[in-house]
Amino acid sequence: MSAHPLLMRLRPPFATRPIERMTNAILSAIDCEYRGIVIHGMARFGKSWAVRYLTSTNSWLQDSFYSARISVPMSHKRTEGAFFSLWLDRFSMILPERCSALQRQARLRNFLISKCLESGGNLIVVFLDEAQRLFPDDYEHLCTLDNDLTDAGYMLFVVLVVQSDYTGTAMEKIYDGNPPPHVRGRYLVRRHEFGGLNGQEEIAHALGRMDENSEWPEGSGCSYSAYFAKDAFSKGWRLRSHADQIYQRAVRMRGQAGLPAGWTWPMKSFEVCVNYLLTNIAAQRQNFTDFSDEDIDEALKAAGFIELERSRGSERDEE
Amino acid sequence: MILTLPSHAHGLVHARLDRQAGISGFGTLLHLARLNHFTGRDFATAFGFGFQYREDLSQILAFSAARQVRLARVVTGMEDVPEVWHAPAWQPFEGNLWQWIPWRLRICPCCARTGYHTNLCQMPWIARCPWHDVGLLEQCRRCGTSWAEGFKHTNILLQCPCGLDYFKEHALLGRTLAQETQRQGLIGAYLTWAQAQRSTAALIGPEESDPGAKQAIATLVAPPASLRPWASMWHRASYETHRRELWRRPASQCPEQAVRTGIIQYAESFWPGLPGMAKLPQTLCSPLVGVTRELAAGLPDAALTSREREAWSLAPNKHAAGGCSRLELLLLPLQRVVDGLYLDVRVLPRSAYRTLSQLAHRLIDNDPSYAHGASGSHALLADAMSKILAPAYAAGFTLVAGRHLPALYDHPRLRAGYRSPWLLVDRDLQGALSVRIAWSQRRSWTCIELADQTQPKLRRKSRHTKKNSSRAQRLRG
Repeated sequence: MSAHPLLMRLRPPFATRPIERMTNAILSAIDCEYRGIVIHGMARFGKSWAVRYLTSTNSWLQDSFYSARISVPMSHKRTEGAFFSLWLDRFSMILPERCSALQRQARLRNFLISKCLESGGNLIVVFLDEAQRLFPDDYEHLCTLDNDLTDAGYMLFVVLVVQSDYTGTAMEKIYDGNPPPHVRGRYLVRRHEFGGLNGQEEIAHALGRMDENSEWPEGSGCSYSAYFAKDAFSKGWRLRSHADQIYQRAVRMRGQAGLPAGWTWPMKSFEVCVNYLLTNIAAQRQNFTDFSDEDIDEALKAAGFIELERSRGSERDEE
Repeated sequence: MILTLPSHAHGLVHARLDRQAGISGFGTLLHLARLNHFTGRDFATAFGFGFQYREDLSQILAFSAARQVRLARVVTGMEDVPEVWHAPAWQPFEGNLWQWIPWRLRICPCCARTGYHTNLCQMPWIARCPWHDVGLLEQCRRCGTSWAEGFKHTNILLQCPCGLDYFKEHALLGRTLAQETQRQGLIGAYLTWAQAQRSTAALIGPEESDPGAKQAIATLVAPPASLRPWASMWHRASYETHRRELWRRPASQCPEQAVRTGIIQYAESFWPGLPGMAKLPQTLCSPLVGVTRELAAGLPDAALTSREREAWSLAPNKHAAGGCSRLELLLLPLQRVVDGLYLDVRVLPRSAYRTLSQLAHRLIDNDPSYAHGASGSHALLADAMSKILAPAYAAGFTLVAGRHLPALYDHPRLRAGYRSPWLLVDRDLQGALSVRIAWSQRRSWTCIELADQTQPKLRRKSRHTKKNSSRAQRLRG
């Protein structure tokens, strides 16, 4: 039997309110037949985490569809066929030694159609992570691909996941300049800001996933909270009940560090904090009943909560 | 029987390849190469096998085990080659058919639109696509270039240098898979029938390359009742192909010992090995004499001497040529000695002699009815031998006698050339059940080889061996 998901490296994502908001934004854009949406958010807020979650499940859309995730690599210039090669490479396609850009484009189109045939739908959702690294020409290629697929009766929807606190790439030309109407009309009209967890309710919802909507081993009916704090869970303890306490301790710590009062909790530090509480404190303490304030402070420190916030603040100061 | 590929091609674009019933190795290659926009030079990288442009890829992927394994590894992730990729799996008889007849890629233009090809289309007895009822094409309809030749020029499978391209991406990537159920139905029924037939039927041929044999072989294979819904795909027998069908006639009792001995002696005369004099049954006297007379009918009166005419069983003629008789012409026809009929089998074309040898082998060695001759199997095979012997005798006779009498080639039937016999022997527990014989299209006389031409080679070889051995002895001494 493999290790518990929370004890593994690269832990699996779980649904949170920010992911739900992002999903709703995507669904709304698809309904309105846009061909793309820009999801922007700051670093370590869990954008890629959200993308991983959405590509690992297809229950968020009623119709059958094919979804894929492509992380755009950093490069200073691209040849004509490089954009399609990037896609083919990310889809683990065998690349011929010599191949024209048109052939690559046709091959990519065929691949996407064949995937739609497998899934039985006519919608392709591709998440382009680190989309700030795209070049203006790449948007033209996207338009060409979109035209090809529309002609064949398929819809390509591109989710451009952009890190908003990142500057200095060719991407800025698209955003700050004046993108051509066919690009703007397709991909840049709909925007959504991906934020962190806001307030106690969202924290409680995220913690509740550990109490109710998780299970390991599969089919056992044992949630993550129950797995790491078996006795306490059987006596009625729930991780969700600490939502307010965790929020208050985080507020207090921010205050002590001199950080502003209005804030949203990045997924990175939140997830590490919750994981620390369950696997390092609840699981290893004899006769565990609940978390104390000190436990939560310890978990927040382990998660680098303040350091992460300060790093963002310092970046803003530099700007 | 597994009709479809068991898995998906990883790293390659494909569209429901696992649902294409009966698709051949070439069809798989075509499907993947066209959807992935691979040209010939990419095949080694993408599919792991190399080839030469002079080779026909459909033939390679139907027979080359090594390349089939490599393609299967790419497509299915396993080394097991799907049975439908092997050409012999589609033959309803045992024997290597493609050793003697040329292989040319044949496609249905409608199936080719979706990149589908099955080895069923390669079988000579299939003339039309079973699903689209259109004729199969061996070459471009517009310019007449063969598919293999076209690929050599364009580097793209099924794309002709004239610009014609039967493959259509959008047809393959359509929402519905064309003919899926129909293909499953036919391929399943056909392969079941072919597998059952292979245990009972055997093809006997002249064991030499015979490009004109396709029609003859096509005539031999008849559609079974289970494939009646697809009867239109079958090759229709042409009046140009001469065909005989012989059936076993069970007797109420075993034949007499003398009759059985006669048949066995007849068969043993054609036993594989060095040719000699064959002892023929008396029943063959009349047909073979008839053949001789018919051939001689076209000769002028003065062509033969009186003695030669007598040897040829011709009526005396006062205008017969004088002078010495030619020994070759005297010994050529059937010889009557005491109570037996004898024929120098060296006069027979080598291909016909080989066919007769194989039939004789079946009659003596393989036929289980040896123990119970009442089944009529012996008589059937002996009859089949006689049916082959008469035209073979005519051809060989013409060739040998034609060296002295060129006028023999003026015979209206023989003028066109020589034809080889092909047989399909069907058997059951009691031995041969039926024999179908079809003769291939006539070929030029230059291609014919007589059985006696093996002799000088053997002699030369033995002389060479002897010389070497004596030299070795001298050296040792």
